[in-house]
Order: sequence, then structure tokens, then C-alpha cells
Amino acid sequence: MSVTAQISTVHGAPPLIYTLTLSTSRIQEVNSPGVTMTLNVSNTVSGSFYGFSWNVTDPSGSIRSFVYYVAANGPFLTLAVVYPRDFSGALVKYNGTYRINIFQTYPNPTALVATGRFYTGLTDSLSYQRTAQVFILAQGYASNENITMRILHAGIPASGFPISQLADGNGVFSYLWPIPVSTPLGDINVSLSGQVTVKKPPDSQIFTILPTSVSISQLVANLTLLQGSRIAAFSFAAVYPDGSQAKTGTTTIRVLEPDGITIHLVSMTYNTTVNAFEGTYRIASSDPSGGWAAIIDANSFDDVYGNVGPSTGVVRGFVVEPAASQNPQTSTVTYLLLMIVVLLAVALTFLVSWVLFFARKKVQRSVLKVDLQSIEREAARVQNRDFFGKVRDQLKQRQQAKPEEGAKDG
Amino acid sequence: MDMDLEGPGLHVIFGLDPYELPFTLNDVLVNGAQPERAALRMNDRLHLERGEIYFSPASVKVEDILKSLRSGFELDSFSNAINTLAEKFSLDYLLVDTHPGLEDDTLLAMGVCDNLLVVSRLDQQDMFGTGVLAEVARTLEKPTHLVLNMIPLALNSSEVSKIASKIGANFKIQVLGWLPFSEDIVSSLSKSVFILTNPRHSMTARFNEFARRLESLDEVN
Repeated sequence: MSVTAQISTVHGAPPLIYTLTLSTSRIQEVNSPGVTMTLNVSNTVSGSFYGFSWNVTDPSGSIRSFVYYVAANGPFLTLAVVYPRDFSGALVKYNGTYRINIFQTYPNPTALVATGRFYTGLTDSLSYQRTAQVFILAQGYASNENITMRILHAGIPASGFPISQLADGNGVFSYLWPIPVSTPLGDINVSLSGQVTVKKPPDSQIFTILPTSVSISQLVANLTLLQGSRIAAFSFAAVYPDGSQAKTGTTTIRVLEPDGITIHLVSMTYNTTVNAFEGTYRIASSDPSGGWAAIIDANSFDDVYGNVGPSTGVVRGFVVEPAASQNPQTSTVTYLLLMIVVLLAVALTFLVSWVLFFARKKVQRSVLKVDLQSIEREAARVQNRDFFGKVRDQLKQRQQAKPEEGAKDG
Repeated sequence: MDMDLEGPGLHVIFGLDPYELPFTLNDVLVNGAQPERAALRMNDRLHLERGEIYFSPASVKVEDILKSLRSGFELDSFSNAINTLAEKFSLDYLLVDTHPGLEDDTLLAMGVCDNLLVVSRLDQQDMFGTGVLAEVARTLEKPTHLVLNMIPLALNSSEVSKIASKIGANFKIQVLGWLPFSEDIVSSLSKSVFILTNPRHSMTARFNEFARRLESLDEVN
């Protein structure tokens, strides 16, 4: 912030030019580091004396002054004064506007040469994204005074407010409020009132709440076989800037077929068991094989409070292999088989529940069983793939080429 | 090297905006770009004063992902890319991070690498995958080493050692060691390189120990 003024002081001499610059336009209710007010004066006469009086009027109407006399040693003069440090008895204990008037008191006549203003508030910013932390700071209360803090949106208290907290031994009140993701957007009023101290003007200020962003770093895709159908299961975690996870909202992801054109939409909902958003797509036997992709589009996720993300799209590719040929079976046989599977599953559930219930007080021992034959079968399936054959053949060719190269080198 | 071409994510740990990368591994493998153009020097970003570290990112663009899946991979072009990078930057080690499945790109990485390091949790699904991978790697005559990850805290060291040696014997692979489950690592949300932001963490000491063991593998080979 800067203010300039021009005043002629000596007949025939060029006019003095004044420029006031402030280190900041807004501070919290705290004395240090304060506001540095720098007055630059041009066209001064070397060896001449100049006198200035800084007058600062605080929001309560109280005026504090600082007088500065100095001799110029050239055509420029720079004077820096800090409020409240250099002003006797001054404190930054009211929120509102602090007005600055600078008078040149010498040489005569006294004249107002520069003005300015800065603001004092309770919070460390005037706008915040949800999940950010609001730092509230105020002083001028009695030592260990009980302070009530209110945070209101449209006259309705924010969740958990009002609260009461003691000022410290110096009468300073401070509070850190992490803004919940569901806090209403828009203007919020924060106010403080002491049990003993009555401030005029009272500690009260408005700040703005903005939506926050949600980041999704990765989309996981797993292909599984369920009752003969291939299922593509997708999951992702949505994270707020403070590192906490989003647990509300829904989104729809796009599942793209290998042609890059055909799209399927999959709704993703939060699963509290796995702490992630999940959704599935059943791959029909008629669906094409090849490289598929699942996409979370930019800003397609909304946590129901208006916090959206991710800022850029997230993609996960996955390969769908051709459907294995299945033995034709009549619907009756399939139904019977299904019934048997269901009955077995129910019986197994009872058995497992019974075992778990009676074994609870005993040492629990998990058993990790791996079917080596299944592993060999799956490995054989991989090894039968054309690409594996290519890799193996190329490796063999290289190994054969190496001795020949060695012989040539030798 | 982020070889998880189907769902790249390593750029997140390094704090890179994936849309600002001029060249990616996909450009090298699919479009024939020079491999060194897809390698980013990370020292300044990670505030590393000693050594050199480069990162080869994969593309997050859907068209690039589908294209690489469609066009397939060639062992020779990937192998040439690896060799070029190793020579150009005088690399001591080149770590290729693949996705967990046994797809073409994973097989490609297996074919090119000198040592295969499998990081697996102690559960049925992971163990099955590890077993298959070890079997396939044996066919390709690649030495395979296993790291057991996210070991439940309820298991003590001797129990884990017994389990690890049994797994190693069954799968005929060397178990390099194990890492306990760490809430701190999970909570870090892949926002940064954990060992750099938490240099005094017990998990950092374990990672450093693994690095030393990996170096000793190099000496053995």
C-alpha cells in the first residue's frame, strides 16, 4: 500500500514528494511484528532538518503518536516506523481499521503529508478452504479470563460451538479450528466475548469458507471370476488436503472398451469395511477382449458437500482375455448346481461362525494354505501365452548370441 | 521406471504433475522416442545432494494407455531402452516397478531384468500370485527374491522367519526379508518419498537395510 503527496516548502524550490508504504495491509490482534510504515520523501535539501508526526487512530478512537526529527543528507529521506512498537502505550487489541495520518511538523507550517490504513482481524486469513485450519488470535483480555467463542453461519452456530476457553496469563486468546468438510459455504462470523473485559468495538469478524478439493491418486482394477461371470471390480480412495479420507458421496466411472468408443458407466459407492469407494462391472461373454480402461473424469467426484475432485482424470487400464469356452448345460442342472453351492455356502458360514465363536478365547491361529497344483496350472496358462513364448525365444536367441559375440571379441 | 503402464502411480510419490511430463515411457515403447528424453533427474526435486536419481514416468493419458495395450510390446525395444538409459546416465541400478498381475508388460520386465524382487503380503491371494510368478520366472531362468510386506504386528520375528523360510522352500525362491505393517506408511498416502520425509523412522531403517541387501545381490551376481 502506498500513498503519495506533494507539498512545496521553500519558494522556488522543487516541491517535496511523500510516499507512504506499509509492510502489510492486514494483521491479527498481536503486537509483533506489527506494521512497518515507510515514508519516502524526495527533493529534500541536504543538511536541512525535517520533522514528522505519525498519528495512528485505532478502532476504539484512541490516537497514538510518534514524532521523528531528522536531518537530510541528500535529496531523498527514508523514514521507517513500526506500529505499535514505536508508539508509546500502543497495542493491537481491537479488530477493525487503523487510520494513519502523517504530519510534517518542521519546517513550519504543519501539514498533513500522507495517509494510510491497515486492518486488524481475528483470523490469519479472510478465506479458507474446508479442511484448512483457521487460526484465531486476540489480545487485550484479563489474565486467564474465560472467553466464549462463537462461530455462526447465517446466525446458526457451527457444529461444536460456542466454546469457552481461558485466555493465557497475558490476556491472549488463541484457537485453531480445523474446518469440517461439511461446514456451510459462504460467510462465517467469528466473535469473542470475555467474562470480564468488554471491548469496544467487540472482537467480531467475518471470513469466507470455500469448498475444498478431493484428490484420487489411483484407481484399482481387479478382474475376478464369480459364479462363472467375469467381474471387473474397481476401487479408489478419495483424500482431502489434510490427509483425511472422504467417506461420503458417489461418482460414476467410465469403463472404456478396447475400441476406445464404447463406454459403460459404473457407479462407485463407499464401502465402510474397506474404507474405499467400490463398484463392479460384469463383463459379458460377448464383450470384446483386449485392453480396457476405467476412467474417473476430472471433478466427477462429489462428496455430497460440494467438495469435488480429482483435479485431473485418473485412468486404470486392464486386460480382458477372451472368454474361456464353457460346457453347455441345461438350465435345470445349472439351477441345481447353484442351489448346492448356496447350501454349501450356508453350511460353511455356520461352521465358520461356530468355530470362531468357540475359539475366540483360545489362541487364534490363521492358516495360510497355498495350492501348489493350482499355481502350476496358472503358471502353465501364462507360459502358453504367445507373448511369453516370444519373450522366452528372444531370451534364448540372446543367450546363444552372447557366446558368439564373446568368441568374436576374443 | 514406472512400468505399470495400465495404471501408473509412481509420479504421485515424486510429486509430479503427470500432465506436464514432456515424454513418458509410453512414448519410448510405443512411439520410439529416445529413452533418455523420458527420464527426469530428481535430485533437485527430492533435495538430494549426493548421487543421481532419475525417474522414468508412464503416461496417465487414456489414449496412451489403450494404445500401449493395443500395440503390444517388444522385448528388444524395451531391452534397448534399458541399456540406453543405463549407459547414458551411468546407472548403478535400474529399478522397474510393474503392476501386480502377470500381463505382457510384466513378462517383458521379467524378461529384461537381472533379478526379480517380488513384494507380497501374507495372504492367500498374494501368495498364489507370488507362486505363479516364481514358477514363470524359473522358466525364464531369472533369480527371484521375495520380500514379505505388511506383516501383521501380532506375529513375532521368529514366527515370521519360520513362515518366510517355508514359503521360500515351497516356491524355491530366496526370501530377502520382511516388513511389518506400518500405520505411518499407510497414513503418508504416497504423498512423498517416505524415507526422505521420515529419515529417523524405524521403517526407514528397514528400507535402508533392504537397500544394502539388494546391493549384496549385485555382488553375488
